[in-house]
Amino acid sequence: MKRILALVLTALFCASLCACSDTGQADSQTDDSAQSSADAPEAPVQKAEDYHDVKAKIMVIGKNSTDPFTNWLLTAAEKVIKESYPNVEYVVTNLNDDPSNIVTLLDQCVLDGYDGVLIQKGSNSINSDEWYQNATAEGLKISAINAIAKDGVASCSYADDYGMAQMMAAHMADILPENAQVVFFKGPDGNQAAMDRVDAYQEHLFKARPDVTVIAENFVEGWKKENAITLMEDWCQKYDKIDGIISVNDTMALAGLDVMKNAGRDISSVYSCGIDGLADGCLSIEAGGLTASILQNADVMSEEGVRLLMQMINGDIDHEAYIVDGVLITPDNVSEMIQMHRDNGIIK
Amino acid sequence: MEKRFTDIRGLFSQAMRRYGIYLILLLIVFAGSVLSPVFLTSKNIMSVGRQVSVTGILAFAETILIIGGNVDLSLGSQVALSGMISINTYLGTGSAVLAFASAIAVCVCCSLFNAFAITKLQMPGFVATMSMDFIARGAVYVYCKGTPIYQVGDYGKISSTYLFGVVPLPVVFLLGVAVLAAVILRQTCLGRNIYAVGGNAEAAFASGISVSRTKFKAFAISGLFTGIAAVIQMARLNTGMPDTANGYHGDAIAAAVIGGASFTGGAGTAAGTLVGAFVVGFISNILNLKGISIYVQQIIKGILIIIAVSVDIAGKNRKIRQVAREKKEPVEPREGPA
Repeated sequence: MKRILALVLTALFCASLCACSDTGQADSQTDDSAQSSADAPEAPVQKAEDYHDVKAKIMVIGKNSTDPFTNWLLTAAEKVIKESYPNVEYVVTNLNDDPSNIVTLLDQCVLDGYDGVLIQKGSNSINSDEWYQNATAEGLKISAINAIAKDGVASCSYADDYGMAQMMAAHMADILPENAQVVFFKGPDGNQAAMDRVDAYQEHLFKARPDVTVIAENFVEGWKKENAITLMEDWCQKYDKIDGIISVNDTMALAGLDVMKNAGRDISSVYSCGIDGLADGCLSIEAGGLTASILQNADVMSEEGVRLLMQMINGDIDHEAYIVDGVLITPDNVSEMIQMHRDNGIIK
Repeated sequence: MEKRFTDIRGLFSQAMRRYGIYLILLLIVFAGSVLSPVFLTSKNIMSVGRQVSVTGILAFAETILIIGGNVDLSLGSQVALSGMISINTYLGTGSAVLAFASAIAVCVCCSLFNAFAITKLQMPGFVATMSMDFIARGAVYVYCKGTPIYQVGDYGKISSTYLFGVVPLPVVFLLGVAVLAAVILRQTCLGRNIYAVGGNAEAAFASGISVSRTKFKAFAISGLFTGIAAVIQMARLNTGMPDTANGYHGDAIAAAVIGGASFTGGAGTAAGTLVGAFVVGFISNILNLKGISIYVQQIIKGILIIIAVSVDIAGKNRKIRQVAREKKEPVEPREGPA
């Protein structure tokens, strides 16, 4: 009886993992060997059309069910598979923010005869290289999106966090007024993506502009708006003059602006920036709130991730890396970004 | 002489148990005012009030349940689910009243299901409410397909509006819920029944109290409070975030326990919970003002819970030992006026 119960529960667990379609968080690292979308002379010749007739069964795995960026990634992946690879059978699921589920899902894919996996990889959550290597040895092809893969078997399509933050830092260094006093949201402590972005801000904004003073800075657990709101409310009590909000993602920068607005402060003269180019960030830029953001293009990331996976399944490549370039979003080009989010159904 | 000393010690420990949290609050306020010149300003106090408003209201929900011998681990997920439904209700109707009503209706339904599982299906409260946590969290993702609602119109004004230009609306709701919880617990028959059921369910049943009905009512009140907290949370975020309030039940339980609610049931007050919520809020506030990492705040919160529960358990053990001693030893006649 206990065995039957255990089997039923195991089956239910696997079914539930496959049944839900979800979202996650954006992390990645730099890789010198990877090719950029801008300077990729050896970009693969094959295009999506070349795989139009390829039949395959793939699993699309997001990191967790909670993050807007994962939602965007998975939506884009589904869209590209439906439109460009009509003979590909796919299932969308997520890790529930628990990296240990990676091995469970990879095992399931091997057992169920999947050809490939498109997975949103966590930045530094766990050393999963051996799992990918074992699954590849069993014949599974793996393409990681949103983070670099250094396991020697998986392809990857990701944005360079340091590079994106460097681009934003340079922009803010140009526009921040002299002797500006800024607050700095640093994201979760120990998270590789957050740390890369923090390092880039330190190097290319705060070192480049020594007159700019960081009057308050702190880590924000889980990159979350609610945690950033609490911090900013306290900082607003302590500092009467805040000229800028520097943040490693859009969500926290928006939290800072909301708090200042609720406190009755004039935010029209506040310089604020984030990274990711999420829908709410773009809407805020359009409305005159956020000053700028960097687009971490999940559309391209997913599209290239799927293309690399199809190439691997078809035996055309062993594994490759593709870096998605960031795009600076300002009031000048924000309408294009908003249209992109509308097309994806993220902005209704 | 020794007896009198024991009496004084007993009175002192009883007073510490009952009023210790107020002493801790005073110490924190004193420390805060020394460490930061802005700490005692009315703006900062209101800011902390706004920060603790959601977990504070949830703490009252947990307090009523804990006093009645229950606990609800699904409050955070209920906040997310009902908050998202509330935003859509608001966007569809433009009515803040209906937004509140829908959130409250969802939470009351979830809470009544918890009560049903506990009383009728005889499930342990921990298991029943943990299951509801999964159900509600899953339901919110299914409901919104994991996508946040970015354009919420004037919904955010529920959080950003000030009463008389001074008191933020979330603080008004927090105080309103505090008063309501205090009235329910102290002034109503239901409140007395909740204490009785939490203190000793068998004895309460023997004295004619319907244990299951009392639990249903306690959960319904918890649902009411949770619905209010959900609207405030989403208004604070000014966005519909399906992943919000993850683990908020833990913060709510922490505030209730630090405020004197006993996990063995039958003990706790609304005033204690309010103070407990502010103790946690003030500590975070001071550490934020001093630029100390949020992770340190979590350590301190954990230590505070350990201290609060230890004091509670030590007090109860002392009481048991005292009763046992009194049963063994003949009680000396008290000296007093002839």
